[in-house]
Amino acid sequence: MGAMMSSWKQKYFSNIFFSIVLEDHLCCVFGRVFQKGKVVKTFRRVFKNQDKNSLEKPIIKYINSKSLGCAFRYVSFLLSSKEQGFAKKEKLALSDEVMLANIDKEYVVFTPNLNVEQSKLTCKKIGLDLLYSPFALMYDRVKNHYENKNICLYMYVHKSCISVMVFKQKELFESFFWLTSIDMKSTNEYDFFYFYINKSMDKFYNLWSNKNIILDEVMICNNIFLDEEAQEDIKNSFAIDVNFESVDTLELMCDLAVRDVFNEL
Amino acid sequence: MSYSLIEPKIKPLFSNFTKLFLIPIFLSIFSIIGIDEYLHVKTNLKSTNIPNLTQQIDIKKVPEKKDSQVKKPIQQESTKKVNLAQVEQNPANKQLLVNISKSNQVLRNELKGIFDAIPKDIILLKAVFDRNSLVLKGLMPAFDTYNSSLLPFLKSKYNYNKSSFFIDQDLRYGFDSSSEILEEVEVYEN
Repeated sequence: MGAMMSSWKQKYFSNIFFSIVLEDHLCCVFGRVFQKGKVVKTFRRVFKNQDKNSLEKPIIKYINSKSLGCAFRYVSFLLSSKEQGFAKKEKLALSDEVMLANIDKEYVVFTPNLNVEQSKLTCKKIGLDLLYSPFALMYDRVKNHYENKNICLYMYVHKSCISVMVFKQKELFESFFWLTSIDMKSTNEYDFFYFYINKSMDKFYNLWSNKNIILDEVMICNNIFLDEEAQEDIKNSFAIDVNFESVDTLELMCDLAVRDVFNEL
Repeated sequence: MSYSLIEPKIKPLFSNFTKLFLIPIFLSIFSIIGIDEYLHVKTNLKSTNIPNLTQQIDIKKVPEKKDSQVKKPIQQESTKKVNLAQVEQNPANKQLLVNISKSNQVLRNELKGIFDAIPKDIILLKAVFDRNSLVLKGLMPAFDTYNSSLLPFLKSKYNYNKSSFFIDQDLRYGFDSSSEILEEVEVYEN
């Protein structure tokens, strides 16, 4: 990805950033208006959206009405399809059919072009500007824990998808992606988390069984509301440390979009 | 580096729809300014052209006095002064101005010489001055004033002179003289 084209002049106009997440027949929309580099307005709304592959009229109407009076509009969308990954740049064989995002000097997020085209089609009526993988959002959080010397399993939990990375400081061991099953979605939060933490740990140990590596810690970036009691229950269910960090995907996407557009990385 | 899998589109400040409105607005503003400027230039040109034209007519008249009679030389001189002042503003006419003022000076001196030569007791009724001719009509206190004081001067300047005398309604002596410089032409008779 080349340098973004936005000029400093653009900051003096009002810029509106939308982030959209589609999951479980729901569409979450978050918007922020920036002027002269400051947040002027923020809004959030959840819509029903039966069709997974397109945005319904009320959503488009809402976004258009909110963008009135703003000179520039940017729409960012969360990629929740199964075919995506996070890897070291060196280990990846480049292909024309795969879209890459260089999120770091070492690491890339990738997905087939088909997924990108599908996301563009979904947001056709409002125009898609930025497409974020949960891995990219997760990596933004993981960066803050580089000083952690333990081997840590990071999970970025959404209701519809969970991305997992195992890091020891800056070194990536493994990464994988779950699409949550309908059965698990309907269970309570405790079961949901317990199931997927276990599943992730199992998968990691299976993949790294011959290397004799043991996880020291689990770090959960949580986008689902979870009260402290449930958090304690989950922590007590595992022999290793489990830590929670609440994350707002919509806000995080908006922040990343601002950084990407104004080239402030 | 970018966290996004795709690059944001380049956003124009004005959408095509806005441009559709802005273009006619700007066009009309520019055309109004253009018309205003054109009218300014045109009126300026007109105001500078008027003295130019009158001056050109005057210049033409000066060397071509043979055919046309110039009436009221004094009045003409004063209008010329006004015109000269206007022409002076135009730098393109500076050279022209110098030429005009020179020829005017010659004319003025000649006229001055003629009026100086006319005795004070003669009242002029008519004076027509041309390059090669002079027509004078006037009243005089005594019958021989014309012959004694004016005729010698006229004879010195012009080689042909014809004069007639009359007595007007108030019983005053009057004279009517026309003098001319005639080139000698040989006439052959068969």
